[in-house]
Amino acid sequence: MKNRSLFVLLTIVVALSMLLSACGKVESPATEVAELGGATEAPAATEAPAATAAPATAAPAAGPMTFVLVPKNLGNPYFDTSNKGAQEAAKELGVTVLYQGPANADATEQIQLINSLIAQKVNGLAISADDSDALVPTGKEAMAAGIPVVSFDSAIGKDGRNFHINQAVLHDIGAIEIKMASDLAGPDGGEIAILSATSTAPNQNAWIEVMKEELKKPEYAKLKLDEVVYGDDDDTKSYNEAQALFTKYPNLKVIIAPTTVGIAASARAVTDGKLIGKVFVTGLGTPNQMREYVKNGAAPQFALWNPLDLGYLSVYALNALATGQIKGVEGDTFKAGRLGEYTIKMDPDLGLNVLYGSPFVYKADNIDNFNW
Amino acid sequence: MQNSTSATQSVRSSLSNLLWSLVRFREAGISIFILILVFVVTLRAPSFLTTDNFNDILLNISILAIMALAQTMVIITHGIDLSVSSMIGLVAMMVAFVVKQNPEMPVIFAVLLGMALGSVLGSFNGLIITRGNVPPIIATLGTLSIYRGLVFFYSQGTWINSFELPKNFKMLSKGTPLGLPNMVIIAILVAIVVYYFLNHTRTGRDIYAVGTNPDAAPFAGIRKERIIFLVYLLSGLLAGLAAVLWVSRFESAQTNTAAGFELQTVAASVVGGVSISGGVGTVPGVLLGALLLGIIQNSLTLIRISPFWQLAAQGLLILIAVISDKWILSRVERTKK
Amino acid sequence: MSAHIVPESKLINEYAPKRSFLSIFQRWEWMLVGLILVDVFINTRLTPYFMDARNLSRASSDFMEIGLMMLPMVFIIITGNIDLSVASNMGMSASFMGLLHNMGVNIWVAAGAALLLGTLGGMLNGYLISKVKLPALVVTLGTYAFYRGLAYGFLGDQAARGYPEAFTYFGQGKVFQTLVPFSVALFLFMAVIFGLVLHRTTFGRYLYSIGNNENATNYSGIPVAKIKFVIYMLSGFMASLAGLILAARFGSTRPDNGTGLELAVITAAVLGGVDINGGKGSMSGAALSLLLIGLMRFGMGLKNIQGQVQGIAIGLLLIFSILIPSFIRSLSTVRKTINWRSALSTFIFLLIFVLFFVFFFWSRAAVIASV
Repeated sequence: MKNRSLFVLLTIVVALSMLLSACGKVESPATEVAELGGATEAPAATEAPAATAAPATAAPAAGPMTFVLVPKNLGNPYFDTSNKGAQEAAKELGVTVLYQGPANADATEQIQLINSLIAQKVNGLAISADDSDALVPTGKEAMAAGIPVVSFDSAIGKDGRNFHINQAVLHDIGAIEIKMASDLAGPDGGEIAILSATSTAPNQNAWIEVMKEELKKPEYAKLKLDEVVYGDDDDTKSYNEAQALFTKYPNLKVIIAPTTVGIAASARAVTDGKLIGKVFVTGLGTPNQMREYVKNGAAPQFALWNPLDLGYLSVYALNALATGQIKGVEGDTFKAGRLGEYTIKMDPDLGLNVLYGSPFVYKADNIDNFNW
Repeated sequence: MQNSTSATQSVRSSLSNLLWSLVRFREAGISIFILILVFVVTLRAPSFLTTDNFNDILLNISILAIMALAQTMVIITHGIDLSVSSMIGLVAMMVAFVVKQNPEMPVIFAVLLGMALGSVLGSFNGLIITRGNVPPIIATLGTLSIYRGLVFFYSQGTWINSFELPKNFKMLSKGTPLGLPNMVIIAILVAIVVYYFLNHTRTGRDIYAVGTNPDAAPFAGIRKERIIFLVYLLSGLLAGLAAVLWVSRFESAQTNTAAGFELQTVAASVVGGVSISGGVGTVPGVLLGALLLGIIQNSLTLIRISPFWQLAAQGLLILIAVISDKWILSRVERTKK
Repeated sequence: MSAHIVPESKLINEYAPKRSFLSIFQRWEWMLVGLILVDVFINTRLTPYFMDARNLSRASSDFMEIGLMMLPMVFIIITGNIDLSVASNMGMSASFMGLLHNMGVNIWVAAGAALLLGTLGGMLNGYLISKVKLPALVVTLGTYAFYRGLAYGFLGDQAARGYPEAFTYFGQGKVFQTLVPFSVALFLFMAVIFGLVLHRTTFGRYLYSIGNNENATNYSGIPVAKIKFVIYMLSGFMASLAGLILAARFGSTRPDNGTGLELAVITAAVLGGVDINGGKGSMSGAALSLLLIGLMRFGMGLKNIQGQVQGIAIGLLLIFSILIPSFIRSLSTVRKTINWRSALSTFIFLLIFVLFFVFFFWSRAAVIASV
């Protein structure tokens, strides 16, 4: 019994001593910087509590800056391509871009990772959010620590980032998917289903809302939405969900998969199930993954924008914020290398954002021009 | 003297008869449960009772059946193998990359490589448990994390996608030279081999002995450590086979391939009548358990239960299956008296 | 035959177990303290961001949900049982609260209802395990799926968001003006209570007794079934409390919150010296192990080691924490002569493992090159 109190005492002593020594360190960031032999990060200017969408107050960096690109999860070729673009921008700007993400599309893992990056005092974060709400407190913390935060591809809630890099107008993405579905279903229309990513994915959910709105239009009257299912951006699960759709809805004509993992899995399920020509797949996909299915007829057309440019643009945006070129308010303009100039706009739902472009449709006659 | 031996003999035979009828009874119980479920579901969704659908179900449970058989052997020895999902994930990633780099390689090499890699992983488990005296649940909990971490360490987060795999490899699981998909045939073969192994070989009976009375087993001349090591080795070997089939079927290997699968294998075993305290379990029972899980998953989708309630229904059905099994058992115990 | 009568006092002195000063240091908790010190030392050398109060404060809140669920898990494992459903219960309670909040119910009422639901969930586990006498592993496996399924049923693809700040304080706020997050203070407070119950009350002693020999405990008149029911009910309550803290920390709730955490909870408890077969363990050990795991993960994260790869270290730690003491113990007992056969088999296995890793790194090199 005596021993146990001894341990408790010891634990408290250890914990206290750690806290005390840590406190000592924080008081003198200057010595910390000197120890590192030249600043590799901009000292946080203020620790003021985060106001909504507070502009990042970072003193100009004294050395090469480090930004981090945080995808929804690692391994997805879509994000790998955005990293390529980010690295291209990094070379042009003379900064370092790290590529770090959770293994699964899970908000808890993403938050832990970002907490760790905040602790390392990186110079900027570009995040594709696994959960738009859960990431807000973390985004606020980063901005409060003086780290500029932009979201790309999948937005963090309005208050959790400086602004969002939007790949295309929300409405256009949803509208074009319905249009492609309608083209594939033919003049008689038919039943369609949507195979999405995770049920919490902000971008997919927004596009699905648009799609449901579009379906109300008279020109799509012959299309009937059977169900929305979730493949969690997991290949196996998406494949199984697609199979289940075939069984549940024998008259299914088109599957719309607004996610690159889901569309590839669905197209494969159609091919395996010998349903080519009976069921069509469309949505958002990457050329290399979908080439086989465009050619065999499982997915004759699909759309995407170029994630390469998205990553490239994100890094330029972070650089503009971190070097103080822009403050991150409406109307700010910055140059993004070969992509030209961009202006921050305000949108009631999306908050501050920058619009990249519009979706591009891939078909058999152009798919071979791309290699990513 | 003569009378007492024949008396003991008759007692022993009637006991074993009762034991066998008990075992058969449990399997009968599961079979009846399955039949009722099939009946109810077909009423709601006629498309359930079609060859196409049953083909789907068989395909979906082939891998589960193989791994449930492996898990059963482990559980019979009063152990558990929580690391099977990570073993599958790691072997899947390694084999997928090797196949991608060597598309001309005969498919059988990939299968053998997978089984070899899986055996190594399984034997590591076995060693820690037998030589290191680490309880199975802890050892496999540890290797669950270690092997899963190795997947990322190996692949650096990249995935293998369908277009990077050669056609003949993909046909391994899907080709139907004998009417049924290859994967289903492989699963059936595994089941037959395991059945024969458990019921008709000395080592197989030893596995049951170790699980029923681990302290007495050494006195009966059974090398307890060898047996326990063996079941974990086999678990790894079958995981390796399952991994190759997984990659072939889903045409991909991701960082979290098969994550969470270990609990499904335990569920299939338990629902199939395997006792978690060891010593009890049959191959037909486990196959029925896997079949039941597959039917539950399939039928819930068909009868239009919202995807959000499906997981709840699955869990509830597992609980019902286990509770009713226990209830039946207690009634039987009572009638024995 | 008359035995050589030895004066009693001499017997006690001569045959008393030799307790050297060093034997005190063989306790599990000391190993953990040692590991913590080693880890702190290494991490401080490796990264300047480790010994930073603000960073530590931020990182600590990542582990408090695991900590809260670990406290009753220690009770459960000491009695020789297990609870796989804690993380699902956590998700279910949080989702229920989120659903009620979305429907306009006052947040405090919703939180109370969530706690009630979680406790009911624990009671269901307790009932099935203690009354119906089903194996704990099996029951909690079923409820692991069932409760998570209910979580999805409650919220579907909706999120619950917009919790009032008074509520999110519990997950994001700090105590008074210090850097200590509220959730950490809550955990420490709860840990002290659970620790006192375990080590200073009869109830706690009964837990050890059940874990050591349930039948004997039952026959000595201790209400084993009731006790088991209570600890599972506690587990449900703490799981729902953890769910509330998580919801407050995120400022929102989704049905998949906390998926897979049960294994982290069990790992923390076992690493803390709680014997998985029951009958042994201490709360201080469990708390120390949570601290160790938290520090290790935090430190590794700062070196940009990916979350899944961190798991390799935790898994190795878990296995070695049992392997090494058992190895040392086997050394101190009977000194066997070298068994050539076992030495040969050990050598063969080492060779196989080396070959495996050679293959691993060789094929991996091709992977890195192709990426």
